[in-house]
Amino acid sequence: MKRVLALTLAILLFIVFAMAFAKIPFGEKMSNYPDYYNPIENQTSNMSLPQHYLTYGKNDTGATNMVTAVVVDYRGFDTLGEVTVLFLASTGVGSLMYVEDKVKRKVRRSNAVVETGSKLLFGFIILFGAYIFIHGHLTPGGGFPGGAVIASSFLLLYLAYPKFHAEHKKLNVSESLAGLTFVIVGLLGLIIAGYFLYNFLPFGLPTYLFSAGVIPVIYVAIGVKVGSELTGIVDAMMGVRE
Amino acid sequence: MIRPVLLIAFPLFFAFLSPIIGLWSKKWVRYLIIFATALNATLAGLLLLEVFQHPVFDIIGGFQPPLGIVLMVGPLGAIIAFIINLVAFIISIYNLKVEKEPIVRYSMLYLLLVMGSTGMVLTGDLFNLFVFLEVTSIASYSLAAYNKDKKGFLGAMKYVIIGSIGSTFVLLGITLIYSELRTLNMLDIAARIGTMDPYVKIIAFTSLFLGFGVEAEMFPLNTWVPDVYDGAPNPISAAFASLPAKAGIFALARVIFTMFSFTNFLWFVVIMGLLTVFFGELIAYTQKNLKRMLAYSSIGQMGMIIMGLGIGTTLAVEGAFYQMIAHALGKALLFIAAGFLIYAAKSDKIEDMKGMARNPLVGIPLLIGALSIMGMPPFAGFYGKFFILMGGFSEGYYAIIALFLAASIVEVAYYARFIKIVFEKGNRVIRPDAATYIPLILLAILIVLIGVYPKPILAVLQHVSAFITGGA
Amino acid sequence: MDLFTIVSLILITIMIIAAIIAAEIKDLLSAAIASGVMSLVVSILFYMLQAPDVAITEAAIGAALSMAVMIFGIKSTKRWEK
Repeated sequence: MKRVLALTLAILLFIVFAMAFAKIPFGEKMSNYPDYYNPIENQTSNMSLPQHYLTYGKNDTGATNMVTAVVVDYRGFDTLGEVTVLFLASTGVGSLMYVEDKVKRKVRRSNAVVETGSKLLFGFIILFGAYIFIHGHLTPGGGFPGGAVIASSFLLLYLAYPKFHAEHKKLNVSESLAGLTFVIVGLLGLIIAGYFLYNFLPFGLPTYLFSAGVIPVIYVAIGVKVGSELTGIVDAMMGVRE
Repeated sequence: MIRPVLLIAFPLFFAFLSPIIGLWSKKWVRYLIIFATALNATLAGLLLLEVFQHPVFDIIGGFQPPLGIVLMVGPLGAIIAFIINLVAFIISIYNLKVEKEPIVRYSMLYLLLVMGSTGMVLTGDLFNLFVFLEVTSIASYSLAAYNKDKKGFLGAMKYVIIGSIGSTFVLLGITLIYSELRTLNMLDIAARIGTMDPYVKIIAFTSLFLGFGVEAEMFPLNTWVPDVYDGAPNPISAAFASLPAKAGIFALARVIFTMFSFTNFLWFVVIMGLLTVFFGELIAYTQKNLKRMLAYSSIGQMGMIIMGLGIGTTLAVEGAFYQMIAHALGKALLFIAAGFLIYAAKSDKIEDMKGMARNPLVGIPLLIGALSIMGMPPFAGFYGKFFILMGGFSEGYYAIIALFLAASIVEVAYYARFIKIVFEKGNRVIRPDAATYIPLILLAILIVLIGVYPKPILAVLQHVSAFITGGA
Repeated sequence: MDLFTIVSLILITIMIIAAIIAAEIKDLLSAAIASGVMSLVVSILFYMLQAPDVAITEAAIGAALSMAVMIFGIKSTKRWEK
């Protein structure tokens, strides 16, 4: 009976939302979107928001990758919030998995092929992750994917060497330093230009590595932060081993 | 000039700093948190003085809205932010009583809970509101289970499931609004809400209403409340009643008035509020466990606030805001007192607490807090209930008024029973220590002050009529 | 129907089946793996919809890390749902 009710509720919700989404023309031409309105200056623009991002994004932010321009520069404050969410998740897992009397769990070694293979792969995966977040303003990717890839390389080590332990103190320090970098960059923008998270460095030439002002700095910080946070979560979940 | 963004940037800075300081000394982290919340409360107070003339817009990243994110602070947002940060500061003193490890992580989670609630009140961007909702709720999930016992885990698990469903609804609502209007700024949405398809508009409103209803403890979505309040550490129970709940209900007010510009009687909201009031007050009457009774009473009070918002006249909304302030102060006080009573009686049953509050350092604040929550005249809680009642009365909703009064009588009954037991002649009296009685006395002074001299609050609440018509 | 539509329909079907398996099966280990499969299919769909950065994130977090965390959790509790 309970299951039937739950299923009916789920189907009902699906129908209600599907009917709402059916009224929205997806894949429409961007010129048909409604124009945006600036509530502070009290004026209506002659184009829609996505159109503005695509037309003026390169001039406004200096980034070649438009997704990065929106994520780090136009809506950088949301990204700061999202980074905080990850930080909270890692802190929360750490505080819930904390045990005072550390009972060590016995584990077996894995075999030589896995150990050697993961030793070889580890460096390359880290390199790929670093590439993803360093080039975040030029190519698809950025701090979140890069950090996740780095964390997955540590996951490989955890699986291949069951006794492996990333040092908690180092993880904590790197994660807080990266977070502090983000906030300090934001506060510097407030001091220099009067806007929090203002892009105060010179934009440079588009498509070059050193371009787009503070975006690469922020993305490197996010990459390090996400990498160490996700590694911290994996480490906490593995527990204490011998 | 105070920039609202500092209220969010400074707590973040201190929260990221505290693991590094925690390597040297755990004690210093606790004092750092008290300092950070005190700084925040001061900044919020200064901000409140500033926004009196005109609302403050803080543009982030230098992009004009709706291109970038903007913080939008009117007098009402500023006073709710001020109350949130003030109560957070007072509770952070009581936090010194928490002994359980890992204390550094606890402090960080607490500070980020404060930051998230403040952000939800200050922001002027719909997606940013969602981000702060996530920050607040994820901090709450971990803090609810911090005791690491069965009660804590049960409450936290319920909260995680219901909270995630609520967040999903909020996200669906935002998706619907964005895909119709291609904007996320609240004032931009408000300006063009009329061009939306009516069906999509209703679905979007319902999703947002239900989603924020989880934090605002609204009726069908509040089954987590008693378990979480019961299982969480004592300072956190106090914080839950005054920080995320108030931020959630302010977000609801933003959705109803600023974005969707409903100005008249909203029967849907009023009925939800009434159901919440009855659900909370009637179950609270049957409770024998002190913290659970306070939790259900908190649900009832939140229902009264939702009702005030739904009636939608200036007077009723003023009452709702007044009630938010009074409830934040009063419930924090009662939960701190409850923490002491449970510690003194070594039991969480009300009947075991005979005479535990006879020490004046606890007893007098406890009495003031309970009377204020009941709505007795010289204290803060009176004006809120009175204004909501008058707001409904002047528009002629007599049936609603009658039901509201009936619920209030139930509330008075169980608080009176509780007061009678704790002030009875008991066997022994335990003296509280400074970390307990200082927060209690501070909160009691605030409640009396607001009740006896309500002029500054009323001056702020004059801006309600502008808020209802879609201002900041 | 062009190839794109056919491929996406097949992928969506796999995704829905994987999601139902993850919700219904009593063996929690299989449920974790089914949810990993779902994340992998979703990441392919993201790539087909020209969102490569989201696809990388979803593949790394959804298919690898969250599945690993779930498996660690199952390892320290019980494998079978009652």
